[in-house]
Amino acid sequence: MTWILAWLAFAQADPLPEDTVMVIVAARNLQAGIQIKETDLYAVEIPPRFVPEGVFLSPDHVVGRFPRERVLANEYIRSERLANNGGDALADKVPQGRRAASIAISTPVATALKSGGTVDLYVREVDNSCALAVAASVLRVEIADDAAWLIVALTPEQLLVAASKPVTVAIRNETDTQSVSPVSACKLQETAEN
Amino acid sequence: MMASKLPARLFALSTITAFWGCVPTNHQVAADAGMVKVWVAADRIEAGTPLTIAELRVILLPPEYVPEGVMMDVDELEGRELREPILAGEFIRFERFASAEAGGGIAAATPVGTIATFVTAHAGIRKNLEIGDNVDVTASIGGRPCLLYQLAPVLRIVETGVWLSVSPGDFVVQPDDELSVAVRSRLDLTRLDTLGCLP
Repeated sequence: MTWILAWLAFAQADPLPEDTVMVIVAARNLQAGIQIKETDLYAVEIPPRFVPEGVFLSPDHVVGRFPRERVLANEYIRSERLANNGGDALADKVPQGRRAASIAISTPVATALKSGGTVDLYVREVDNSCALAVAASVLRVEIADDAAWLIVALTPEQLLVAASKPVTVAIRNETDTQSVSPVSACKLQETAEN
Repeated sequence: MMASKLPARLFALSTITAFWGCVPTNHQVAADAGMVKVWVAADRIEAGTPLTIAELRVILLPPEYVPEGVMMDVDELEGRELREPILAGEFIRFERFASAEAGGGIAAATPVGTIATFVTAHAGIRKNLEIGDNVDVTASIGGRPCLLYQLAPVLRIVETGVWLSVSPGDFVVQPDDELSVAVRSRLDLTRLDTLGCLP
């Protein structure tokens, strides 16, 4: 009987406060490509059983990173919405300042290429050729039924040349990042950022 | 005497113990009281698709743990187009949807202040694109290299090309020649001065 009375008293008492963990939340809308600052974040304390998977528990893991997709104000920061999270999308693989350009290639060339390799790209001029890119990184190789494409990282200036002239692809040994092309470099139009 | 009372005491003790086992703990009492139902995505839902309620699930949360801006009633969102993906387990937010008044399809996906233009793109680049990616579009016009669009977000990817969101001021009548779509890093928001054709 004493136990029952003790239990009733215990059950009527205020619930014990649960343990909580700190979860990092966006203080405002965080746009893709804009580096996250400490002032963009705040922390809330919630019981671990309500914490969704993939959220950050410390601002140290978030500050300085870039959203790859918009994070809305008051949303938990999730690793999937941040860049450099190991995502396999092409936009996650393009080096900063480069463009992932597609170049039509023949199927035999496509089958000889693989992602991560390096290629030289040449452009036919009126009376000779020039080297558009030397040791450019192969981001993807795509083969369809009747066509194939090399997707390669180019600078904006190289991209413009590639858009206007046929490009020939030459494969490099993957360990060869040093040797210089015997063909002179293409003249590239300077572009300025604003 | 003692021997006859012992089984009765053991029975009483076992009854109390069994009763105690059925009683909810303080934590359970706290968890079940005052919870609210909140909708979250069952799995990742991609942009460009109309929402169906079957893609969502309900979780119970104390109201104080429901962030501001979360949709508690999703009936009005059924069939509404998503402009941004929702992650698995993420709350449903109104801002990720095209407005109901925006019309359907491409019109609904086009952000206010921009226009949608279609650019042909081959399979090799299409299959590497995601809605929301930023692309640059180049072309050769009269043998001159031209940058037609830069940092244009992909609205839709269809069988023969992509729909892009561009500023009305940047819109150009596209040449008959083949266009090239190049993908930007998600972190690269730089703009070049050279929109248009080089000499």
